Amino acid sequence: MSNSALVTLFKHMSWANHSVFTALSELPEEALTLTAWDPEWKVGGIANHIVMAQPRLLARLKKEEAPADIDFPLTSQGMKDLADHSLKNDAAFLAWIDQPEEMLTFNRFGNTVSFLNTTVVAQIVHHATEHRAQIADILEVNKISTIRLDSLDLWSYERAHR
Amino acid sequence: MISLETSLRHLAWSNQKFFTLFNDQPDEVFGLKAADGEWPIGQLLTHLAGSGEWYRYCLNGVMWTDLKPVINGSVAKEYLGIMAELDTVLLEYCNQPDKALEIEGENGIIHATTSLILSQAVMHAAEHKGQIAAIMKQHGHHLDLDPLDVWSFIHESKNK
Repeated sequence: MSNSALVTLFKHMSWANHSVFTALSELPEEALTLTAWDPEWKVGGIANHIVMAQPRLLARLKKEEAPADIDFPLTSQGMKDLADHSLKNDAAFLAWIDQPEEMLTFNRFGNTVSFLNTTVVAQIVHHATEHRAQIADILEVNKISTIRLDSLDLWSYERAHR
Repeated sequence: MISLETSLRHLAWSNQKFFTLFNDQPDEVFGLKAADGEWPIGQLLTHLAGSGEWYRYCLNGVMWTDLKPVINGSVAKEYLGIMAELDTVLLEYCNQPDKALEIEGENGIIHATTSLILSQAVMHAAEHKGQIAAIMKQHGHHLDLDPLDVWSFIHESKNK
């Protein structure tokens, strides 16, 4: 039987990811190339980074080869497509997390490593959460307050899905 | 089965690591902000513990306290014990069946579940740590979150 806290956490992640990416698709396209401390670390690039990690992590859970990365253009349409893609990936996670604990062996940065599937699952949520905060912060630094993290918390998710 | 336990254990571990990173920071770091009107780092750190006290209240009814604001490294150090205690409470609930909660809030009863509180605890802390790291980098300080990710937590646990 699924762990209800884990299911809640994943459903929330899917909703929060999609909300952030949809918000990005509605900003002027220049906002997608904004940066703060690292000129290479652009708002739209971080969104791509979150979504590129999804199929890699899913492939580890499924013991499959990771598919080729898809790089979505830093345009409004690109962010819409990325939001749709994220929704599909997150649905795939949700369909896969109801599993017994198991040790997995996979390649990470060129090294063969072994981690429990629970570790991969925890990292999926942690990774997306941290980077959504980064996106919000970089926009804030550039005086764009579109993404309010307080309205993307679990309480807001619960209210939105009553 | 896969559960939230790894996420909660990682949360507890990374909170200790994160607050430790601030033990030796100069006082001015605690006043850094993303932008005017936004919360400074010290307030965000205090908020992490304040939220932990709120989750504890939601779960077991123990009242929150007047936390000393984190304005320097020595206060950040005092928070190590506070965070450890609060994170232990969350872990106590992670393998229990989900339960409906009626929480007495300032504006009436709040309906929630233990699963909601535990999920929020995991997500909220990761979000604010990401935010704080971004503020640090924005102001020219180095704070790399990669050593605080779940891979690092498990790697360190294996080597103990």
